[in-house]
Amino acid sequence: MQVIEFEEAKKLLAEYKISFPRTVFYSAEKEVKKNAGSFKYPVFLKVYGKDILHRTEIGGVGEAKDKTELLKMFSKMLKIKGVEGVLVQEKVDGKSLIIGMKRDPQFGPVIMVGIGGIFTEILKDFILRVAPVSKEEALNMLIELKGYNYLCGKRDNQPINFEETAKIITAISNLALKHEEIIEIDLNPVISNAKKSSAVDFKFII
Amino acid sequence: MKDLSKLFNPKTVAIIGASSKEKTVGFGLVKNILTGKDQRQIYFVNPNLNEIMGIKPVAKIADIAEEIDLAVVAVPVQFVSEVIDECCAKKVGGIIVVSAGFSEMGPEGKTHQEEILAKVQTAGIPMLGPNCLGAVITKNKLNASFSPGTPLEGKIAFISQSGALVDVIIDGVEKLGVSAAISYGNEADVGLTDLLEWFGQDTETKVLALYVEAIKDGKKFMEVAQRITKIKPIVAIKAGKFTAGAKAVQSHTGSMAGDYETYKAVFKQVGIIEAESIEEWIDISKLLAWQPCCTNSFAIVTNGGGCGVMAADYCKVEGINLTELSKETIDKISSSPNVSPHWSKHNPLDIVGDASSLGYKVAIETVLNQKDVSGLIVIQTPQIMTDPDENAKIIVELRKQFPQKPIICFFLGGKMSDEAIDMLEENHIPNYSDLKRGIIAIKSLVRDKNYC
Repeated sequence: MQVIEFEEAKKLLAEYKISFPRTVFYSAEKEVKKNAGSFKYPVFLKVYGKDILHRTEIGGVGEAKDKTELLKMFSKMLKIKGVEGVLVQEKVDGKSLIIGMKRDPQFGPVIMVGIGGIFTEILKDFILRVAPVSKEEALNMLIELKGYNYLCGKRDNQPINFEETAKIITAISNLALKHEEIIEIDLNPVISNAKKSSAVDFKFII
Repeated sequence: MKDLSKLFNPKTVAIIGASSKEKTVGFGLVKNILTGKDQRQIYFVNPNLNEIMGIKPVAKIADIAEEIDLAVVAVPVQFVSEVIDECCAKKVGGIIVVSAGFSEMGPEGKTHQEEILAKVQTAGIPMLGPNCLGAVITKNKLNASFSPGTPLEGKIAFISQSGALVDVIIDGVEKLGVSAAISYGNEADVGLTDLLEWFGQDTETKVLALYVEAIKDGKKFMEVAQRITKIKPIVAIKAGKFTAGAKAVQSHTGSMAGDYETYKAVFKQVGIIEAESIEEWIDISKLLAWQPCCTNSFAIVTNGGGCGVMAADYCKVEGINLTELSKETIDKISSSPNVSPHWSKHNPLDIVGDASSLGYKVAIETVLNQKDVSGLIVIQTPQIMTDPDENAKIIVELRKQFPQKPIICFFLGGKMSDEAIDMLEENHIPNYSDLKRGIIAIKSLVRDKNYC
């Protein structure tokens, strides 16, 4: 089991038109210094290393509110064992979902969508479908979630973009059917607001 | 689709490993196959015996002059391979291998199974098993199994990976009847999907009831099941939901989408009804076999207010809609001298404790005449003035008048209604001893307009 490299994963997302926030990979301090002014703040920092599967546990995730904080956090993270570089990503607002895939030996790619954030695994509010999943089916999956009303923004008037989210679900289904070498996918979280849905973090396992 | 006609409707059968010793597999097969002795020529094969149930066995299948449609193999595992060779040489039409000791026993058994599979596939002979109970097809009076008895004719095909569960069905629900009871064991050749296709087209079968542990060739299964559920219901019970050593996964998706969650999703996606227990499995299958499906618009007639309220609660939980009574319905019932003026005047129709059989008749008939009532729940509590037998008779009659509207009964209590319940069920009107059980089953009866 191995995680697909960041640049390669990014290419896959682009190929399947899954959008993600502006994200740049830096492995040297002077590159960050040179470009720090070009970001819209706050930004997220996430460490990257081939053998790192759970970066939160090693202190490899952070949020910087300005340029100074970014540089400070960057140099600290680069010193963590196994870290090859740090991803700097502009922050997006919206509701968190998780979209993923698990390849079942009998049924092939099983596509998942669930309510994201810290409660993903506690509330276990998720729906599965065996691929292929059409856009219409993807919309049905979202409607079947217990948290559907929450996604509609019933209380806070901040609905997600269902169309864009369904497109991502279908894209993952198509991607999984074509790339048989990929055994698991996590887009976690996918952040969605009324305007758009983007995969803020992603993991492809081969 | 595999041609299984020689397996399931043979004109000639040979039981290889037939025995005269009671409480053995070989004797069970003999006893059961003889229940169809008027339908076909039966041969027993055993080189060590001179007589089995009045019939002289032959030493080898080759000794039989006539062509053999079905060979049932129940010899010890070490002799199976040789017997299969003989069956292939004899060009039998189908083989059921009852013998155990194959892939279920580990790698060595698996190799042995692959060996016999290669033989039958080369010969082009369909094989059920190994490691299975056998097959029962009631219409053809075929019991090629070592089950504890022979079930009555019915509309449900029980298709089970486990043979023991087929025994449970055959022994436990005699009155229910089956069109077929098949245990497919290790499904080396003829598998679940082949059986689904076969019984999906079988005119005697109205409902397919499956017991599955693991499904082989999931894609094909989904494709076939999706096709069949459009024409007849499939009710499945899944065992082995929680695998002992969960596989290592590296993603959130992997940890949440476990094997059972995947099965659940598959069932839902292809329209299979999943039962949570053996009881529920039978409850649902019985209802689907006996009553027509209908749209979601029910009425409840009861002589006990409390039970009516409880039933309404369960309907709410299960998503079963209770229709509003029309003014016509209310007026008609109210004007009847046979119904107490204190009846509820809404759905559930509580015709109160002293309801006579005539009162039941008026209420049931009137409510079934209301166009937008698509199905009926009848509850009877055993009160001092209740006449269960007469009530059952009325329900049986009214059921005939409204063939498109299912009736489900709850004659609650105990022995006072035993005979009435027998009468209902003999007429294929299901009775449930508990409201929740029956209402869960009713949920599976509800369909969109175009499906019914």
